[in-house]
This record gives sequence, structure tokens and C-alpha cells, in this order.
Amino acid sequence: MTSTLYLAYDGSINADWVARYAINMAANSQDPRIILIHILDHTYSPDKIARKIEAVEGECAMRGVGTTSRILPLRKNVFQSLLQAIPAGEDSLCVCGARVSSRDKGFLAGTISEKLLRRKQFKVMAIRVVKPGILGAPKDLLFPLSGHPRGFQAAMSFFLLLAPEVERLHLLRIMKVSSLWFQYMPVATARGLQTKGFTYMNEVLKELRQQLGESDIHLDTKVILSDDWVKEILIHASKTHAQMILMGASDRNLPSRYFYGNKIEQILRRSPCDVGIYRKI
Amino acid sequence: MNSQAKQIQQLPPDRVYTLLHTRPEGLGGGEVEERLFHVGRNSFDIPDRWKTLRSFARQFTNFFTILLIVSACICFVAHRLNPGESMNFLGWALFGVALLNAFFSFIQEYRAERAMEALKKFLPQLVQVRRQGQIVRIPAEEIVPGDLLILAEGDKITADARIVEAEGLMVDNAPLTGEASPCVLVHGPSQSRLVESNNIAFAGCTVIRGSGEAVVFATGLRTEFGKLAHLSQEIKRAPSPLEQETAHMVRVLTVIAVSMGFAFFMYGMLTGRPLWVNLVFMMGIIVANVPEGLLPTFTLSLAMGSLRMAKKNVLVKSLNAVEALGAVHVICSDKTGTLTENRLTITELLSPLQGTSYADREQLDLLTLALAASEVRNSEQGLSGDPLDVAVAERLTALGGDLLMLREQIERYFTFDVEKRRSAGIMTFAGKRFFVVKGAFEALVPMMTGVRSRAGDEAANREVLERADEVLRGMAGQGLRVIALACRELREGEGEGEEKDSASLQDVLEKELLLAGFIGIEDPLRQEVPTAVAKCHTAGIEVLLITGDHPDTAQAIARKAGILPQEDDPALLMTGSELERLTEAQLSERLSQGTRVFARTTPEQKMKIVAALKAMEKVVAMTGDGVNDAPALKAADVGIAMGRQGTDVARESAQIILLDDNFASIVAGIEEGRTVFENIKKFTNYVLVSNGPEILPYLLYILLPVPLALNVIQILSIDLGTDIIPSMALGQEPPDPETMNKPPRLRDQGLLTPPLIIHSYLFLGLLEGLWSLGLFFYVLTSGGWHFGEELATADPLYRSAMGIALSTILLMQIGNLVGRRFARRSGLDRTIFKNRLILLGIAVQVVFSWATLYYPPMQKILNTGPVPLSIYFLAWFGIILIFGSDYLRKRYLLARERRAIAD
Repeated sequence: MTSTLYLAYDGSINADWVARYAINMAANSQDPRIILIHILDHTYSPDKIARKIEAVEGECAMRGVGTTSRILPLRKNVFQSLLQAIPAGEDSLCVCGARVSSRDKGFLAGTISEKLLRRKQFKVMAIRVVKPGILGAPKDLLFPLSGHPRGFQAAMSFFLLLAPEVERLHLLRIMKVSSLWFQYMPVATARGLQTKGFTYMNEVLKELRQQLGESDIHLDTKVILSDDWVKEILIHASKTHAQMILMGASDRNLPSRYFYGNKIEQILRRSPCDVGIYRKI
Repeated sequence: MNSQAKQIQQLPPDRVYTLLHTRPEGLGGGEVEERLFHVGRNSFDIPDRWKTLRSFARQFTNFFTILLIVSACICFVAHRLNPGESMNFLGWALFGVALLNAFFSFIQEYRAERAMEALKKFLPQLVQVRRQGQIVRIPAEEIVPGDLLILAEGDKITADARIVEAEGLMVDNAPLTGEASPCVLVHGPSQSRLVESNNIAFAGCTVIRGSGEAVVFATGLRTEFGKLAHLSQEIKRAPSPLEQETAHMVRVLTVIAVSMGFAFFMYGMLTGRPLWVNLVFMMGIIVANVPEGLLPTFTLSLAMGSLRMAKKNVLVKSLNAVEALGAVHVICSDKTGTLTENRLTITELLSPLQGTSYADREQLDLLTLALAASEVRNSEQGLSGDPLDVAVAERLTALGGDLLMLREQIERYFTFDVEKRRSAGIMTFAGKRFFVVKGAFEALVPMMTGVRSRAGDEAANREVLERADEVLRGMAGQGLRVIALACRELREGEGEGEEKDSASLQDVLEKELLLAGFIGIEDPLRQEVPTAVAKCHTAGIEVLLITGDHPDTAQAIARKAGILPQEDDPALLMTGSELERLTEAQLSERLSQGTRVFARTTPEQKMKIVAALKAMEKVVAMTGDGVNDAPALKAADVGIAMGRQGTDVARESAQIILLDDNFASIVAGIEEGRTVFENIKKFTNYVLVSNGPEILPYLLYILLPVPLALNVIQILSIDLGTDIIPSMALGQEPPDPETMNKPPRLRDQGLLTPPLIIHSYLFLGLLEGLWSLGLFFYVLTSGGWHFGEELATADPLYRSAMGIALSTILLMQIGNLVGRRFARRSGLDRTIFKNRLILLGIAVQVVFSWATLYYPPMQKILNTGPVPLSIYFLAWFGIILIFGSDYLRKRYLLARERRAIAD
């Protein structure tokens, strides 16, 4: 947890809401400090930006988090300017917003956040805030796991930044089955897949318990067989009253041009709670 | 690490404004627009223009529909190649069935939307908010996080909001929590979890008293009510056991039909037969293999089952639920109204220190005093008011009290206060004026100075209060709800117009009270429930009690109902808080260890119980009545809503509605459901038998130089014609007395089992095939046909031979029909006359077998011709042959089973 946290702040209300997450994550890190970066693209007036940044700094001070605010000129575009402003490498974590950028665009597709996630120059966490009352401190967290061979390793550093406030961690492993096969799958095959899912989940639990030690966090696991993992994640988020869904991004599942049918895009659009999309380098 | 982060409920109101980026004057126009752009409208609907079309298209992806469409296409191709065979009609018929099938499934799915419509009724159309310092009324959909809601009595709440100002604010959270008592809201910070905080107004709930202001922090699907709506909409009920088994059966039969058809098509092509002949042949073999009439008969049988269930107060909304109810392994039942009568009755009136029952006269006095603190009205239906107050009045009347006269003695009534947990009143009784308080014992203790005792009144010191508390706990242990009654004699003039305000006057009077007694109330168990539960246990069905009540009450009712044994075993009971801490796997473990009662649970915990039971591969029936029961009702295999006390949302989400809310009706429904499955098994067996003689001619035709004994139209006349009424007759067979003495079948126990296939195809089917083909060749050879000779379709000899083959199958199906009535008995007994459809089925087979041979219009349609009567009598012998052979098989199996038992 030695990363330096950079907040890509565009001055929107969503950025204010995302800032709460950044403040909270910084407060939970060993180096409670935020470097706020605003690229002057003149969407908002400089006065308004200054007022807003001052408010964020005030919040940081209240939480005991040090702030360095950098208002930088636009170079080529906002994405390039951010790449230049944030040092590349494992030690940098950029927190940014996932929001509707313009007409006919997705919440992530075509946005600067999507480009940052795709670039893999530093660690990125793009957050869509739909329930600002959580104030960046979700107590019920839902982690859908894709069955990555590295288990929880990629998610761990992001989770630990939110962990002190977390009371319940719901781990969800969805065993994906094709739609046609799903209808006719024999019971024995279904049982086999379930067992495989639980084996994976037990490994993740072991890893988490090792990392968390004596923790009060209530760990819950669920393995589901489904032909529609987006729907299952959303149902599970509603069922568990999750306050945030935290999921990993990869080149394969990141939305690009054809964002409408993209799974991450669907989750961002229909989520009953805040969503964080993270990516390690 | 730094100070802990806080959520909105943990902050004081001024910080709420700051952190939600709003002000006491409300948001400005630009701010609203920006937030609306980011989070969307305050609505449950997610715009999806392709949803309906996608849902309709999905109906065409199931195996049966695909098979029908492919068959239709083959028919059209065959018609194009050889127009004379009228294969296009068959093609259109198959295509029509596929379309109809898809359309019905689509309608079923579309009906799920109705639960959402019922939920929307809980939200307002217009709301009052403060924006830019002005109070405005705007459409609820335009509310955004940061908006300042103005709450007043009667308002429906449109979004989740943090209270920043409250004046006596009280809300009804029942749609969300199921909690009947109103909830008092305050504006101060709370350290509870967000969903449990008393400073949050939740969407879907109603303000019942007071006023206030609240800052919105979640809208639309992100509200707790939105999540409920989302779950009600998105959770799709898993296919019922019958649906799964039907899908399996269709898959197996389709694979057999298509592979046989394709293999013989290739064989025909390689042996040099013309393409259209091979196509028609392939069609024939597919049609012969697929029992076309089976699925419509399933539907008819389920529909008839649902009618029978309706007579038992079980209204079925979805036909599959008829059989699914018969397959249940576990019933998760509510308490109030389902196991109990939902009518409070006073069963104990005890002295507070001795814990002994009062004599009749003392009881009358105690209840007279209790009446002073009760508010009952006379209505057309009898007494009305709070159920507890009504129970007091009813008991008082039963003991001979003159209610009318006594009510005239009541001078003043102080309404029940949720916060204070008590009501009060002033009454003149036996010439003295009394101030009486009725309520929770804990709420009365601070104002008590004495306790009534047989040995004289005692001062309310610690030791005396402990003794009273012990009596109270003893009553609660029996499942009684205990109300304490305290009073004091008023001095002259006391309480007479001193204070105009009721609350102030009550405060002044509430002192120096004497605890007069405890009133034990219970909602009595329905008389028929213990028998019904015992019947469930005999039938291998587990009954779980899930209630929001106190564990003692739940345990007492469960014992009386027979859900729990009389001995105390803490492992059999679990509270909601314990359940909350368990993972699904741990819960499954506890359930397998025997936990049967869940007390102090919330409706949403029902879903967790359902998930754990389903993970154990159990078929689960769940009862529910509240709005928030909707997701659990959909998650269960069979959702059962209450017809009387249920909400519209629960009824729309369930598959079954109990018209009398009675648990015993569920058990009656299970018996009917099991009978339906047994009957389905019988007619599946019956229908598959005729597949044997339908396939056999095609195999002979392709392998040997012999004419085809049955054409496609003749096969369809059996499958979609003469077999339908006998199948329906088997679907109408009465329940076997042993039905509820057997355990429920396992999830993976299919309809199409290997023994059933062997019995249908290789025993009875083969027998029918051999006898009918035997007569077919007998007619041919006696008419001069010799092996290898080709016959024209219109050749009278060929038509007569085909006629006798078809006629024999029809007649032999009578023997098959009677034999299918019982697994081990002959089927020929007096009860056959009670099922009129069986007699009709037999008549249909007889008439058609005759008409096939001797009635010219039928001969024309089926391309058949007459045979001498002596040969027709040989066809009749087929009935004895099939029935007798099957009876011998039954006797042999019975003897083997008896030997096995004896060994």
C-alpha cells in the first residue's frame, strides 16, 4: 500500500463524488496523500474549479490526508496531459470517474478513463458513483471473480484501500455456460462446475484470510452457474445490498467502439450501486 | 491510518448538506441538470428498445420449437419436389404449432412485468421539493441526489433521503421491511447500518404522521425499493422439475428421431432411391418418433389439475406450478395467517406475582379496566379496531360483560403511542374513577409503585419486579404475547380538564401505578395445521417456519404445529441475526442438521434460505404476502402468495395463490400435484407405446423390399387424434391412497427413464408393431402380393392392408390404456366406470378402428380400404394379447417384489 494516489479531477459533480473515494482510499493508505490533477480544458470556469478544489482540499484536511493540487495546461488532449502528469509504474494509482461523456457514448467506452485503463501505464481505478450518500466508504462490497489463475492477487491492493470501512465482502464466482448448453446441461455437469467454482473460491478465501489476519470483515461466497454473468452480478448486488461492485478490467472486457453490448458497460449502466473498475499493470 | 470514514446516516444535518453538495435552499437549475445527466431519471425502467423483440426471439431457441420448424421446412422442400403428397399442409401445421408454442411462452414471460407495475403504485407521480429557495411540485422522475424533499402526512416517498428536519415524523416502512409498526424518524446522526437507520426515509414508504425535510442521496434503481423492484423483475424462476424433465425427454426423442431419420436418409440416397422419397421417408421417421400429441396433453392435464386445485382453494397462475407443487421437498411457511388464524385471542389472565389464573369475576374486572385503554368500534362486520383491543372486548363479552354499558363509563382514551408502547384511558368503575395503562411491561415499570397480589398489594421493588418478570417470561415461553395492565384510582377532579392536550395530560397521570395483571394473547393455531404438517412429514416433506416473531413465540407455535419436537433443542431454531452472519454454505449445513424454525427474520432473509435450500438440490415452496416477499417468491421453485392478506405485488410474483391463506390447502395442493405427475407418467408411457408400431414399418420399408405399412397422415391421426382422449383420461385418474406416503422424487429423477423406454418401445410397442404388421402382411399375401413386389399407393389391396395395420394399432391401444391405470394392478376394476373419459377413450378407439376400414370418407382421408370381418376380429384379439402380456409382466414383478421384501 505504498502507491501514490492521483485523483484525475475534471470538476464535474461526478468528480466531487469520486473524490470521496479517493480521500477515503488515501486515508487508508500508508502514505495518506492525494495529488489532485486538473487539466485545464475550460469545461468549467477557473473560478469554479478553484472553489471546488478548495472544497476537496478541505475534506482531505478533515480526514488527515495531505493534498497537492496541480492545475495543468492542456497538451494535445486531456488523456495525453494526464499520461504526462502521472508517473508510470506500479507506484502510481490513478482514481478517475466513469461517467457519461457525451451523447451516444458509454460510461466507459470512449472516455479518458477507458483509455487510461487500456494503456496500463499505472494502476487505475475508474469509479461510477450513483449513490453519493455512501460518501466513498462502502461497507458492503461485491467482488465478482472471473476465475483468474492468480486468484485475488490483482484485486488485493485495491481492496485493501477500501477494507477498513468494509463490514461485508461478498465474493461471487460465476461459472459461465453458453446459453444453448445451459438449458440442457445435465445435473452431473452442473455439479462438477459448482465444485470447481467452490474450489477456486476456497483458495481465494484462504488468500484473503492470510492477508486480512484477525479481521471483523464478514466474508460471504457464492458460486453461480449462468449464461448471463452481467445479470447475475446485478441481481447479487441487489440481493446483498452491496454498496459497491468492484471488478477487474482486461483488454477483452473493456468496452471500445461497440460499447452497447459490452458487459462492463451494461454493469455501469444498470448497477444498483457504485461501481469501481480497476486494473493493475 | 486516519479517522474512520462515515456514511450519510452517521453525519449531522449540516454536514449532510455539504457532502451531498446541496444547501437548505435546495439545488439550482444547472445543478439538477448536471446530476440528471450523470445518474439518470428517478425511475425503475431501464430503456431497452430491443427487450420485447429479444424476449420473443428467445422463445424460438428451445429444442422442441427448433425441431418443429426444421420439420416444417423439410415438408415444404418435399412438397416442392413432389407436390402431389400435400406435404405443404403438414408443413404449415407444424409451423403453426411452433409459432403458437413460442407465443404462449412469450406471454408467460411478459406477465412478469405486472409485478413491476404493482410496485410502481407505491411511488408518487408528483413530489414537493425545495429548489432555489422555493417549494415546487415536480414530477417524481426529475428528482436527483441533493434535492431537498418536503415530507408531510400522507406523502409517498419517492427516493432514499437523509432526514435533515423532522417534527413528529413517523413513516410506514412495511413495503420495504414488512414491519407492521410505524417507524419514528429523527434528524440526528445514527451509528446503525444505512438500511437500519432511523434518519433515512426510504422510497416506496409513506409518511403517516408529522412533517420533515430530507436530502435525496439515491434515486431510481439505486434506492432500496428500486433494488426490490430490480429483483422482482430480474429473478427468473428456475424451470420447474416437469419443464426440466420435458426438455430432457424432448431432447432425447429429438436426437433419436433426427439421427434415425438422417441415417436412413443417407442409406436411401446410397441405395439409389429418389431424393423426394428419401425426404418423405425421413419426415415419416421423424414424425413417427416424435410424440406430437404428448406436449399438448401435458398442458391439458396440468390445466385440469389446476381446476381441481382451485376447488381446494389453491389458485394456480402458472400451469407448471401444478406439478412443481407436487415435487416440493421443503415448504417454507409464514406463521401469521398461514399456520395461525390471524386473530388475536386472550388465552391467559394471570396475577402478576403468583402467575395463577384469575377467577371469572377477577377476570371480568381486569378486562373491564383493560377496556378503558382500548378503542373498539361497532361495524357491520362486528367489532373493529386494533386486534388486541378487539380481543379484549370479545373476551369481556364472552365473560358476560355489557360492552355498551361499560363503554359509556369510559371518560377519556389516550391512543396507543408507538414510541411509548402503551395506550391509556380514564374510566368509572364500581363507583370509582380509574386511570388505566395498557402496554409492554418494560414501558410500564418506570411508573409503577406497586404490584397487586393475592396476599395484598406489594411495593414495586426490585425483587417484586423480578418475580413479575419471571411470570411474564413464563407466559412468553408458551408463545403468548404478554400485555401488562396497570392502574390507579384518581383523586376527585384529577384528570378533569386540567390539560387540554392529551399527551400532556397522560404524562401527568402516568405515576404511582399498580400492576393489576398480565394478559396473555395468542394468535391460535389453525385446527387443521397439525394434521397437515404430520401429512407432510409422512410424505417426506420438510416444513420450515420463517417468521418475524420472537423466538419463543415461533418455537411455541412450531411445537403445537408439529414442526418442532416437544423436547427443547436449540439447534432447531435460528434467529435472523444469526442467519445474517452465516454464509450460504454454513446455512445449508445448519439446515441439513435440522434447523426448522427461523425467528426474528426479515423478508429478504427468506431469499437466503431459499438459495441455501436450492443449493442442497431441494425443490422449495415459499409462502409470502408482503411487497418485499416478491423476490423470494420468485426465487423459490413454487412461490405461494396469500389471497386474503397478501399484497398485489406478492400475488403478481407468485405462481400460486392460496385463497384461504391456509397451510392445509398447500398440502392438499401437493397431493394433487403428485397425482398429476403420476398421471403424466402413465400417459407418457401410454403414448410412447404407439411409437413402436409407427417406427417399425419404416425400418422394414428401408431395409426390405416391402410396402410401407403406415403413412405420415396415419401416424398423425394416432398421435394427434385418437391418442389424445385416452391420454387425457389417464390424466384424470384419481389419487392413489399411497400418494402421500411416499417421499418426494429427487430432482434428477426423470420422466423418461430407461425402464419406461424399454417397457414402451421394446415390450408393448414391439408387441403392437408385430401384431399390426403381421395382419398387414397377412392381408397382402392373402390378396396375392409376393415379397419384393411394389404396390401403387391407390392399390385397393395396399389400402386394405394399411387399414388393418392402423386399425390394429388403435384397438391394441385400448389394452394399453387399461393396463396403464396402475403400475401393479390389472386396471380392470369398478373404478374404471368412475373415469368417464376412459370409457370415451375406448369408444373413440373402437369407432375409429371401424371407420378406418369401413367408413368411406375416412378411407379417403387415410388412404385405407376394408378387410373381411374375420381379419378385423383378429385385430380385436390384439387387445387381449397386449393387456394379457402386460398383466403377466405385472404379476411377475409383483411376485419378485414380494420375494425381495420377504428375503
